[in-house]
Amino acid sequence: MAWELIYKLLPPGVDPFAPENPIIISVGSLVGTAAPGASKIAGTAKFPAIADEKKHFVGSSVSGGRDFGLMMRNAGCEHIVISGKSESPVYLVVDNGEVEICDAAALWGKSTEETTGLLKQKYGSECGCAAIGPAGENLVRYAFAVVDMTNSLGRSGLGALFGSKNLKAIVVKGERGISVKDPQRYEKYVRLAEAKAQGWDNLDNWLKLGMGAGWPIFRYTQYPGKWTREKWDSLYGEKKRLETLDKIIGCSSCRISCRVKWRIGTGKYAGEVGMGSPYGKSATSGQLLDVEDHRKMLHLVSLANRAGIDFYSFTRLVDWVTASSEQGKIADDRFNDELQRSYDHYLQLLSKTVNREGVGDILAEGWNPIGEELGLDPQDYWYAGICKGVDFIYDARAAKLHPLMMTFFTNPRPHHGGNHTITTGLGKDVDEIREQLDTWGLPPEAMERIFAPTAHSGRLNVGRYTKWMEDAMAVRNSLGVCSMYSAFGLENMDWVANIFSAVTGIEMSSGDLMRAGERAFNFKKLANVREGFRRKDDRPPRLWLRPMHSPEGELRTEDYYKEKVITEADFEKILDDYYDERGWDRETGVPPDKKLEALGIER
Amino acid sequence: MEKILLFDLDKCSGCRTCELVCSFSNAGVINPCLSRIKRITLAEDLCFVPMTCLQCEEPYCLEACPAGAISKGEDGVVEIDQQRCVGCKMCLLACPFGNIVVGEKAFKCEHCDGDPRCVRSCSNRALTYVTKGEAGYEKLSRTARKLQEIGKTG
Repeated sequence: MAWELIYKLLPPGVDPFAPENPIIISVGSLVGTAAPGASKIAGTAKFPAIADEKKHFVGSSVSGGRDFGLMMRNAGCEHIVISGKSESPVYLVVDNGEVEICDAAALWGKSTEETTGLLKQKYGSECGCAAIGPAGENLVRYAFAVVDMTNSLGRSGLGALFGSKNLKAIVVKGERGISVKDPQRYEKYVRLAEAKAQGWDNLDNWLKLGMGAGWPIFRYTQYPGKWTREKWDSLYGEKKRLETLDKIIGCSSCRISCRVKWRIGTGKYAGEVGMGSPYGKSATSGQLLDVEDHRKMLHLVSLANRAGIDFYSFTRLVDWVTASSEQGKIADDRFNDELQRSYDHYLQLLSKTVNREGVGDILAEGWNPIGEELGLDPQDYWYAGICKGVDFIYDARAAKLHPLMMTFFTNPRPHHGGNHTITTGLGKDVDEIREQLDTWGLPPEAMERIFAPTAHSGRLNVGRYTKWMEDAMAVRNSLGVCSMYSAFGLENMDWVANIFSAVTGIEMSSGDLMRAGERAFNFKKLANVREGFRRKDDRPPRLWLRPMHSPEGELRTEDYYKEKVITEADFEKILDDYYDERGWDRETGVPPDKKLEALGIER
Repeated sequence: MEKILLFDLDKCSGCRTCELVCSFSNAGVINPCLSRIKRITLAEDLCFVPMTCLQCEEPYCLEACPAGAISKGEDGVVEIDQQRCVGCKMCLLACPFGNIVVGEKAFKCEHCDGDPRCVRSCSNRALTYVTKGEAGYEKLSRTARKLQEIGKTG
């Protein structure tokens, strides 16, 4: 729905920071109910990250939260569309459907944490709040908004879009409640998923560590290949996490919980408290930047969260320019003087980037502009694939080409645009994957195509599978249901269809939902085609075609079952399969009229 | 056997599931405002506190009710008779903790006929439903474990 809205509301070709670029905040239609994991909101806009040929993609970032989505539903809103620009700093209050624009002069310059605290104090601790920090105010192109203090919205610069409109924060509250059309069916399916989550054999681990319980997966998907995994485990593994973990935090209606509050107990930063999901980030960037003290990285995560800047992008950009400087590739001495591989330098660079001071003003622009300024090619960076001007979180060489990996470059917004399924784990059995997919209502021919072995993709046709997992993600984001449950096989698309039908009274099967998801995805694609994006923009990062030289040996991009190395030619064929499955033109990646007609979309 | 609903602040993840299932079970609509249990957030330290009626032995609300709508049953649960309630809100004023919810009439947690829905939905067991004898044992065991650690390290 939000993608249809943006397609209709966004004038093509405008600068992301122009008043005409709307920010659409949407809440899923199951949010506010007790359906496990239904808490998600989405922020849709044309993003400020600069892709090749200075294009900007249109997409959505998604965030959970304890209060925002729930209160947005109770305020009686499904979408909040913010267009134009305020002359002075403001924040927005949506209270039971009434909208008020308030003066934010006293909040401007404050951290996300302080801003949220002050607004929750004023509007009641149970209201929802999304706020930007100084990074968003200063238009850092990878600034995000922080939702309810613990969740982030928009790592490709949604926070800067808030800043461009002089919008400091959004507060939502309401008392309207949600009626359920078929209470018995609703309760039955809520209890079904609840019982499954509570009977899950890994639940205690999640309740102990939050997202940190995902370490066995992270240590593959995000492995930078600089240290051995053994060293990494000892410096950032479970034992270290438990040293700082204060308690776990869940989004509204979540039965698992992945966020945490942490408290640094010892060392220079003793007593510091932070909130969010720090462990994957601090571990990956700790290895990347060669910081062995996990407490130092937690401090850096805290600073980034408070400033409202994406920690992943920032630390990788710093690593990239620092490595380039070490290798003598940077002629500009302003940079060479400031780029040192030391923690104190990272702290200084963060502050400079957030405030756009000196070299920070260039670092704040992101991959392509830095490359242009310093004569570097982001595709030469040794870690983190880059596509459409944004760095990926996962690396296919360490984790293999699982389908989610592929969505990083087929998604118009280069972030994972696919639904987590059990394939996010490594090497799941074909029968198990088929069983989960069976609940999606796919035509039998599509199932055959996905599981027919090919020379380029092995036993699982990643290109074809990806199409369906993107549609599934579109469904989940529209309904606001977190995809973590699907990653662990705790619920499936049949369940989603049943609970949706029970709540809304609109009877839809899983196949109906998937078709709606496909239609939505095509709107997103069209909005990006209109901005000039074509097949050449959907290319895998060059990095994935080069081996990773880790202390554990050479790692290459292989198929999901690690049976063959994926070459450049294979990637082309995988992309052919993807476009073919989508019914889009293989040469250009554009949806043809025939496809749009079938989906009931008017160009 | 008389049971009590216990909260464990260290375990509450703040997810508000209790509010969502309570309002649905007891008010027929999903709305945190109508929930008999509330998750309160202390924003400055991001501490979550679930709060609901403690079923006082000497309920002030019962004393205050001019309509005689409030009674305490043999199971210890303090109940509001919706037929008798006149919606005067005296019970809300009388409750020292704020655990009465007011819509058209007053209502409060009555333990869902001995099977509190919130307890069932609380994955992290921040809410438990135990007999008076069992109350406190989990905390005692945790403390005992800490003492054991201290004993080990000397």
